[in-house]
Amino acid sequence: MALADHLPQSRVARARILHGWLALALILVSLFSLTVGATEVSLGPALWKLATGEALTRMEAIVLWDIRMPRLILGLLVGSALAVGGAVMQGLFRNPLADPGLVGVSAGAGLGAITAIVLAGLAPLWLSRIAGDQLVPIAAFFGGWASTILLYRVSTRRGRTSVATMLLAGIALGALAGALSGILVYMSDDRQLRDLTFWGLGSLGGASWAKVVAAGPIIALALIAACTLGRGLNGLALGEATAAHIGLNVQRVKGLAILTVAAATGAAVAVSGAIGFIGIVVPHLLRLGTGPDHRPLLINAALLGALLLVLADVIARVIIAPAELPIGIVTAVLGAPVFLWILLRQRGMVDL
Amino acid sequence: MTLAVRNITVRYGPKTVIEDLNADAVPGALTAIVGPNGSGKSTLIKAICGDLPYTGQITLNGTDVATAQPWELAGLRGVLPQASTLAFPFHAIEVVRIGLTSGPDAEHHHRAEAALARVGLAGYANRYYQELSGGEQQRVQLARVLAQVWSPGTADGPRWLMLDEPVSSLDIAHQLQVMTIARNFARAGGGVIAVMHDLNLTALFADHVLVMAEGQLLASGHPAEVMTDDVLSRAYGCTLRVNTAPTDTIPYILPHCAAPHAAE
Repeated sequence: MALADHLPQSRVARARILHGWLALALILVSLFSLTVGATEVSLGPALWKLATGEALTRMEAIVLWDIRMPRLILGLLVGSALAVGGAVMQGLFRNPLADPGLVGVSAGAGLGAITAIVLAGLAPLWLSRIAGDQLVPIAAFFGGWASTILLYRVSTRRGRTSVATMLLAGIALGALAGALSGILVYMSDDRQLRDLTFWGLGSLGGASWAKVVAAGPIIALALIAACTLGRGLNGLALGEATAAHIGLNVQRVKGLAILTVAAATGAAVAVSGAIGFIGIVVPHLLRLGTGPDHRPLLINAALLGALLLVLADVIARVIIAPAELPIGIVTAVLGAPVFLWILLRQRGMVDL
Repeated sequence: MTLAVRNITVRYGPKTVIEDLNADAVPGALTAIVGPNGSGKSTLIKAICGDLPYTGQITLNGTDVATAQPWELAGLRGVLPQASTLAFPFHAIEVVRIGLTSGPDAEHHHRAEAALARVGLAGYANRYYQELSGGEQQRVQLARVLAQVWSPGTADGPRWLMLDEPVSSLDIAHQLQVMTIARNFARAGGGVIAVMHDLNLTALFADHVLVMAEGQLLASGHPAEVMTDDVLSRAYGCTLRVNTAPTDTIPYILPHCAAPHAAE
């Protein structure tokens, strides 16, 4: 009986313990990423100087503060946003295959970002003054928001989400957003085309403090909102009607989940382009390890997503140094096989 | 402290599924809703659960179902749906715990184990829900509902079980088990509303029967009063004869004569 008393708690308890281990690993990977790069400056000693309060050389300061630090922080923000956006979207759609990158939400957010870049000159002055540097992430957020709502309306009937409709509608949505983006690219002038090309590389290469400031607040809001969604998404896993029967305000949970997905995906896409597979592989791995309970899952997703993206960025920087690979290629090469393997293993486990 | 349904009309688009229906149910009794397919019995229980828009008024313990907050209703009644899907690989015990999300009994973790034991699935806590048989999944869902409204009677009034065809995917032994759980809930002071397909089980377990046909209430009363040749034949559109044994040699099995085995 003592065993039966303790065993049923184990998966959630394990997930709670995992918070600590993931946080520790995240700190180590972050420190490691600060020491790796194309420059010859060895940052181990620089970190030591920092710790002991000694002054840095000018070179060390520039590499550490203006190049690697914003890149690390942007990686942490984008990685956690992608993983949490994926986990929330999967909970909302009651479907472990839902991923903002696969079902057109990233494309919608991209359309928003491109619109902001190309049509920024046409925006009223007051708008650009209020939005400032955040115009592109905010536009990406609205693009992601509109596509998430549209997708949910199309694929959900009487509280049940059809997987097939969702995936097909996602393909159509992605194609439409891509076509509209193409029209805008055609309309753009040379300077804008250059902005778009750099933006579309799907890389953390352009990281700067300005980008951190632009995306940081939106991603932080999305992560805070996600932490309140655990119970609601657990209830939604049983279907909308049952979620209401057990006392959840279903409309509020859904509305907040859609906003969270749009904010996380939009901000991440706006600063780093489309980076795939983090949003689908991270929640999957965590569900395998510690179960699908969203309360610990969303926190672990933020930690593991940040960790994996920073690690992928390190790989992207060193594998063909001094050049670097777009990080989207690294996550796809590592993520796609993992995703297929999970799919084959899990086939019977989920109601598809 | 009853369920009162007053002048309910439910429409799906242009089609009227329930028209101007009045019904009552009291706690301490198992009230069964029977009727042919398409008679509106599932629609009625969905309206009572607050899932559908309707005109008219439904009150549960005096609370207006249409305007109450979800968490208020969750404290008053649990709902077992006809069919359930589950998106993620939850363990059986985790599904039951989701039933403890809100309401006065949230955070009673040992209740989830007790609820599984009550539906005869004590050893199934850490089994994957998707690996269970259809009947076992239905009993896990029942355990989830029981965990939500654990005490049939509280100081604030009775609580209610709303069961939409609770035994349709179960074998006869488990049908009897589930109906006994429902009846015990009513005996302990709670209210039970069950949509039923099986007329024999209805006769055996219901204290009050609502017979529906074509979106209206055809008869209402004790099984002995309403389960007559006339009422049932009119409701189901074929000639039915109550308490008539077949004259040929084909065997028939009635739940009335079943007795539980010693094991399980």
